[in-house]
Amino acid sequence: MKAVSLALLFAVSLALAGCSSDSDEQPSLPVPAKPPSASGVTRGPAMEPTVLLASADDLEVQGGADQYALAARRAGAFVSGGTVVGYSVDDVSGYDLESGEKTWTAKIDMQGGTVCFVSQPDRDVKRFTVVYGKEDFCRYATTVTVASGKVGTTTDLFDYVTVDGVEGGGDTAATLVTYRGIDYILDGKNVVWRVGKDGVARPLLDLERDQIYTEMHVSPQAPVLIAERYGSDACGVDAYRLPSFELAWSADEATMFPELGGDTSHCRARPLHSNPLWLRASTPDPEHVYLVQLDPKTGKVVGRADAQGGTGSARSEDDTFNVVAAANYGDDGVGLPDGDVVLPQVDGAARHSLVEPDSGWWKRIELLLYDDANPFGQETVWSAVTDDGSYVVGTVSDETDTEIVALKTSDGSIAGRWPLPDEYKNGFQVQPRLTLFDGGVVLSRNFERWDYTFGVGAEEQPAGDLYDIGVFRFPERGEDD
Amino acid sequence: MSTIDRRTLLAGTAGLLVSACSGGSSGPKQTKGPNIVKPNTGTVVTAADTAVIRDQLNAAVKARDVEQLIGIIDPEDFALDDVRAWWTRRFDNFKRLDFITSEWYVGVPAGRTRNAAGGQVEYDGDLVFAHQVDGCDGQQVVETYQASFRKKSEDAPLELMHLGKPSERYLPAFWDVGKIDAIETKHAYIAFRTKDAARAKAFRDRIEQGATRAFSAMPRPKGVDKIFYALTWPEIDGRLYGGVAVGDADAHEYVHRFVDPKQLAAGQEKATAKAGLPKATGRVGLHEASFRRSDFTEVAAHEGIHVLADQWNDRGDIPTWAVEGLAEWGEAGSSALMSRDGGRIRSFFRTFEKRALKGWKEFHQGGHEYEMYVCAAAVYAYLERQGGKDAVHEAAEAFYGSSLRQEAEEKLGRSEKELFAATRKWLGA
Repeated sequence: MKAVSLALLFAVSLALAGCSSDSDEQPSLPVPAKPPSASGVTRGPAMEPTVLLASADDLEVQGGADQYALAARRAGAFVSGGTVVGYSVDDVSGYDLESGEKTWTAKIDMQGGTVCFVSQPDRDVKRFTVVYGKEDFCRYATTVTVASGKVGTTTDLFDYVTVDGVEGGGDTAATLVTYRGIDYILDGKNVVWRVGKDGVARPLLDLERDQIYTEMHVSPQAPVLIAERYGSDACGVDAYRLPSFELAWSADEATMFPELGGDTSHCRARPLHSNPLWLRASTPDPEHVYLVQLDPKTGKVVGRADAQGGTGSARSEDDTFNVVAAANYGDDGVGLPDGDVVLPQVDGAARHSLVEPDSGWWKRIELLLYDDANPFGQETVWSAVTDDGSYVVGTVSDETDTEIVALKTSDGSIAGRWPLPDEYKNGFQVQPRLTLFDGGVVLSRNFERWDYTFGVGAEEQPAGDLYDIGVFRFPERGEDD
Repeated sequence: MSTIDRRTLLAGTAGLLVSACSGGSSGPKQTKGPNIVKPNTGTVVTAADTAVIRDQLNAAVKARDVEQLIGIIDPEDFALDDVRAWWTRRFDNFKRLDFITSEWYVGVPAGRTRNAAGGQVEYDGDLVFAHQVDGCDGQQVVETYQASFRKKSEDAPLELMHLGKPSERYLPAFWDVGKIDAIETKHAYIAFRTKDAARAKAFRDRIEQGATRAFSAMPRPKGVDKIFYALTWPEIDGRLYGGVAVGDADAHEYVHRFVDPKQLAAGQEKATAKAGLPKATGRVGLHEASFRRSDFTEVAAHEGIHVLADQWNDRGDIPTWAVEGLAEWGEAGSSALMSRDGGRIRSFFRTFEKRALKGWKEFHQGGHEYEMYVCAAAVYAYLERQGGKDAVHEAAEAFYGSSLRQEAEEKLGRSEKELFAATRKWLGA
């Protein structure tokens, strides 16, 4: 009798433990209660696909074209309300997040051109912007209604425009920035176009017309747009306040990187895509790599680090921040609102601040997608942070497999690992784009990496059905979690 | 026993409770696959579309009908007058040169050939025009043209919007530079401006004799029983496709290397891989000065041998002495060579040895060009003496078919120096 009582007591406590999570505050990701291993092969349940867009590669090459020679293939996605908007090559479609049904395909006649840019809103929007054109001549902008896929007015950015009372020729789009749900297009002449509620893009203002901007990124730290400036005696970055686009500050390469010796023969300072307030530069002989972090309000250097080059591919012996690897993989990380970045390292991940180098973490991560994989062939990209800031989500991929990985933002410990199901993973290898939503991710094919990896004279494409976009849900937490 | 009971009870109870706890979801989970969405096909240019264009172009060429060709192209094309002028001359000449067959290949698109929205697709891409002089060319000779295409909608036909100028890389041909006619002999086609008809007829027999001599000296390339001779004039000497700066040469061979037209249409300039087919052909340009030469027949034979030797031409670094020596050897034969020039050869051979190991310039421009030719021919005469014509052809094929001179030496099993030394010993020089 005593034995029975003990057993019942244990069973009840077990059951209560299992049920109690229902009443607890839910984590922002359905991570298992028991963290997975930070090394070895994934054993957990796979991501669950709800809808996949099949690749159009076969259609693209029917006329004899070489698919790898086709420039400007892009794919990506964002989520607005209950709709996933996915785009691939010249297909822009909406999918119901819950059912996985395709609800519309936008009838945008791109005349054989392809998508250049699509809005990347961080909130629900009623309509979004698609910039498209032929062979990277991105001259057209149009809007699409999220609910219905209805296509609005098309703007030819190349038409004559009047900006600040001055009429001149337009130009093709250089980038598209979405800030607080509003789209701004920056053209090759540094004219900012604002896409209005009526869906029409209109020139708003002219940035510094005599500067050449090569890249522009919104800082995760502050409402500023960082524009990489290029030209003799003009290397550096300019920061524009959003949404006014007033010049906030400028930072010259020579000031940020005095180690470069004032050589202005070519520009070497490059913002990290993870956080454009971090910049990298290097000297070739002797090879040396430099990183700086700028103050978002003033543009002053508030932190810096450097290292001898050539060490970026080496495994870290002492589990410390690898500056060269950070510079190499600086576009594959994610910036945090406090200015830190979470970056891939050769054999790990790091959250780092150049202002307070000891405040972050460094974690050894040696994931193996399959038993005999070469860990050096795997590529990690940290793409997103959950809304509550608790987890950083990314992908680890190689030419064969991909898994979704979540780290705790606080200490870098592995919180979740989810492989893709074998029959639905094809197309999402080699650094897929990842869009995080509440309950899952949208993966889209990284055409640039795909063509590089599987193009002419390279690796053989993985066999099987190929997909460009996939909406995957995290598996439900198992009972033993 | 009690231990077993405890385990049994624990497992059963826990299973019951967990089941109850997860009871929010009823029954086993439904296994439903994802929704697989296929992309809209839209407007796609297919192989069938390009085949229609190709058939139309080929029909126009077969009919030699320039208006039929123009009718395939968009009437708004700004270049129609150029197309009409170019192809009127060609078709006019082709009607007389009825031994030339030709066909079109539609090249690889330079841009996307699909519009998923079902709207219009417009793109650029090359057209490849390939011709073959029957009996002269073992394969087709190619040239390329810029072109633009359009498909207005999913069900619309592919349209040829623009047929541009030919690439200068493969042009001009002899039939692009005048009103051309030709006469046929057993071993030659003799092409000429219509105003040069009398000269062509006057030299017909001697050209035929030269061609016959070339065929007797050389192995016959597969599919070849004639050599193409063209009576040229100063304005075009050396300027036809395959020509080089010819200086004061009295005749010239214009090399036409075979490129697989299908591969070229796909953007790759590659030789046809089929074994046994000649790798190149050529056209002999008989300059006006050649008709004043007493050894005209030898000149015709000499150039004809160049053409036939191109069957091995693999675009490598062919020693100049190996090229000119072969033709010089073949135009007259070993016996005539040695009886005519034996003394000159013996006295000059050591100088030849030094200069021949160098390049084209040292061979042609160091003075004593004639002696260089006959000494080079003497090397082949030595080879013929040692192993008959087979030995001559084996050596020539080694030099013509190697990318590097060293590679030819490896094939022959001896260096050029050793070959020259052996020849010198044979000559007693």
